[in-house]
Amino acid sequence: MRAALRAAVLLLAAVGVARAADYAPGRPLESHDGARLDYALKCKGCHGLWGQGTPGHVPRLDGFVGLFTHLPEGRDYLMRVPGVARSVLDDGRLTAVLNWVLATYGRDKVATGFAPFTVEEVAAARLRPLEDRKGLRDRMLAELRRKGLLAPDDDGIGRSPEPRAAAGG
Amino acid sequence: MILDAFDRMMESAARQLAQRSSRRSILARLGTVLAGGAVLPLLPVDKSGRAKLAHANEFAKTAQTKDPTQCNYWRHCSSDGYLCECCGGTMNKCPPGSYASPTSWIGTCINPDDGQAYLIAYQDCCGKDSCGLCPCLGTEGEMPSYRPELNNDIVWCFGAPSMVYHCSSQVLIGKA
Repeated sequence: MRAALRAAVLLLAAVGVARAADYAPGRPLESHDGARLDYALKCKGCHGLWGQGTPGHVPRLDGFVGLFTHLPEGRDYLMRVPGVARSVLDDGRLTAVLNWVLATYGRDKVATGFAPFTVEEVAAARLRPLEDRKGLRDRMLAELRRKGLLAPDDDGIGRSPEPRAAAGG
Repeated sequence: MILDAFDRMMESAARQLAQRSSRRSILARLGTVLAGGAVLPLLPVDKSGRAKLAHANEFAKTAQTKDPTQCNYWRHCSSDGYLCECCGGTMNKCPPGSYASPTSWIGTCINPDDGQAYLIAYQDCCGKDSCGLCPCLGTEGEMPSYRPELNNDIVWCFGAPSMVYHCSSQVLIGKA
């Protein structure tokens, strides 16, 4: 009962956050605290200022990260990917960031009934590094395509721009 | 001989201790220490942000808000490299002929005018030889290079069409 209550509170908090767009150029600067601040300082540099990722290097989160919640291995995967498991954040703050990310960038892609991450499971999962991250990810993406949740040519990462020496001008 | 003296000393110390204190008082004191020790970590101590902010405060003490071509300009508390402001660009725009990297190193600096901490994306401009002007070495919030994602010595040109580093820009992205 207490766990259920806590889950409900977490979910409510998450939904409250989801309404606020995270960042848009030219908009008034917004205040950051808690998980949003931790995410900004530790993750945003590579996952992009508005969750768009870095083509060819780091997957986008916006409208993509939530897809993993549809797969049985997805929950485990999200807690164990290197950027999460190796984070300098402690278990509590890391868990808050994970839930914030799903609430903010999950959009309508998060599976119905997916429970927020708990500190206990994150603490345990991050101790087990993923040994075949790419293999597992490829298998999960194939499964998402089979379910019709992901376009055939979308891997969430895309390609680096063509190498160029200089932009000219 | 020495051992005898040592024995006598220990004995007298033990007897004195026994005379001065009851077993219950020892238990009570021990209990206080144990309970106190257990509660201490629960006290609201901000182990993360405060120490960092203290450093940011240090930089802000001598920072200025007028001349962005100087290393002590407030936004440069974590600038590591050549200031784009000196290289034909601005704090928000890469110089002509270079590309803004899609990845950035994000830190916090305090603006001494309003005392507010701001989130700053240090975005490298890439694809052109090193600018070489206005080198600065801000280390605010930085981690050693074995934590590359939190280190600002490395070239943050991942995802740009070229890994050649030109200069660093400082884009305001929020308040902390």
